[in-house]
Amino acid sequence: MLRHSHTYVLELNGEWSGSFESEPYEAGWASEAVIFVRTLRAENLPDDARARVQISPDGVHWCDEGSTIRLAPAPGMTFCRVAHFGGWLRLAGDLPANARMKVIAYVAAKG
Amino acid sequence: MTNRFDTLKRVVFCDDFDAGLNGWTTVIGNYEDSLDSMLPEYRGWRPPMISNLTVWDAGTTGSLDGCYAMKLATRAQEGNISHAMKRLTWRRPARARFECYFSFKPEPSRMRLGDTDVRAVGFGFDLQESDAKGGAKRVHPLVRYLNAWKGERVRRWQYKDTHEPFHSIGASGETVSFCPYLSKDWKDLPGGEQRLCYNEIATKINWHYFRLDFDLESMSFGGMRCNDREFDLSGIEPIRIPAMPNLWCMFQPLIWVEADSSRRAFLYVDSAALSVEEM
Repeated sequence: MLRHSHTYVLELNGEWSGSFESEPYEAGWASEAVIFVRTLRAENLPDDARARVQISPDGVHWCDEGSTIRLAPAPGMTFCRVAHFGGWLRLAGDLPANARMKVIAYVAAKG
Repeated sequence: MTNRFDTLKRVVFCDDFDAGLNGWTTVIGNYEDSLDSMLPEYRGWRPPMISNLTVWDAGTTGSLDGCYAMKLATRAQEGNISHAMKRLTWRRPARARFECYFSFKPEPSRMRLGDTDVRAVGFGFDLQESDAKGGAKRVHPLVRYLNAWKGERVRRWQYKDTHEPFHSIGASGETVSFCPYLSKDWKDLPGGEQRLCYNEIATKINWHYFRLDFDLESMSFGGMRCNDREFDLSGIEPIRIPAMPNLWCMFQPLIWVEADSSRRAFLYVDSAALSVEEM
């Protein structure tokens, strides 16, 4: 039996600025995931900008999982790997007041 | 699994979402060169996902049969839509029947009834006739259950028989787009009132049966059923537009959900079947 795999588009041309959260993704069926963030364009993004992986038991209440993803300040792709995440995944972050970015974010999950 | 459905003679597919999405995917608004060229009404639509129907108070509900169902989730924004379709083409212009077991609920992010947080759930097809047919049309038979409007309970079935004008996308002159799912120009289906089992609070999820018949030969509605109610669609028309240059014999069952409030609206589908029968 082949393993199940699914790539979910968390954000398509989504704009992140200030304090942001991605939409939630239900991944209770999966045991591992790679989360990708593709910067389409960015303004005033610091080199150390990062998004935090968050997990949830119910899709409503969230906590930091501990992993972070560097956010590319120019068009490009970054990623992080996560496992043992329970039922839900999302990204959250805090950008400086004058920074914003357009992104495509994916969760490539397997279980 | 097919015996839970009233299928016609040939079953084209019978999907249970315990093993993935089986080819159900969202519609993406057309674009050219940049995603910024996409029509604003399509921006931010979220694709379907696999859910085990876990809620904060009772834990995992599971699906009607097994653990998983297909889930469509809107953003937490009034009027936002989540949509899914399965992309096929047809062999013969037969009578077609789409059936599913579905449920809709709001995201249980507040401890209130929430029965007006989901505006509508919709069902239909995106079709086009054969390139061998003169005067061929693209046809959208669409129906929706309008559960609520601006916070008021409505609970009736509607249909749409007119379409938005096409918008040119990009500069090549080869790409156009329009969005037939928005809450504009819907008409009440005569006798279309129906109250479904919402069940008291946002975390109690009951399954409903739905069936839609459409004839690919005459491109006209057959019947529709939801739970105990049979609806006569013989007096209504689908959306008809001139055929498009690369959609010949397109045969796509589709579903969607629209939020009525600033809470996410969810549409769950436990299983879905498409069957056909030549006349």
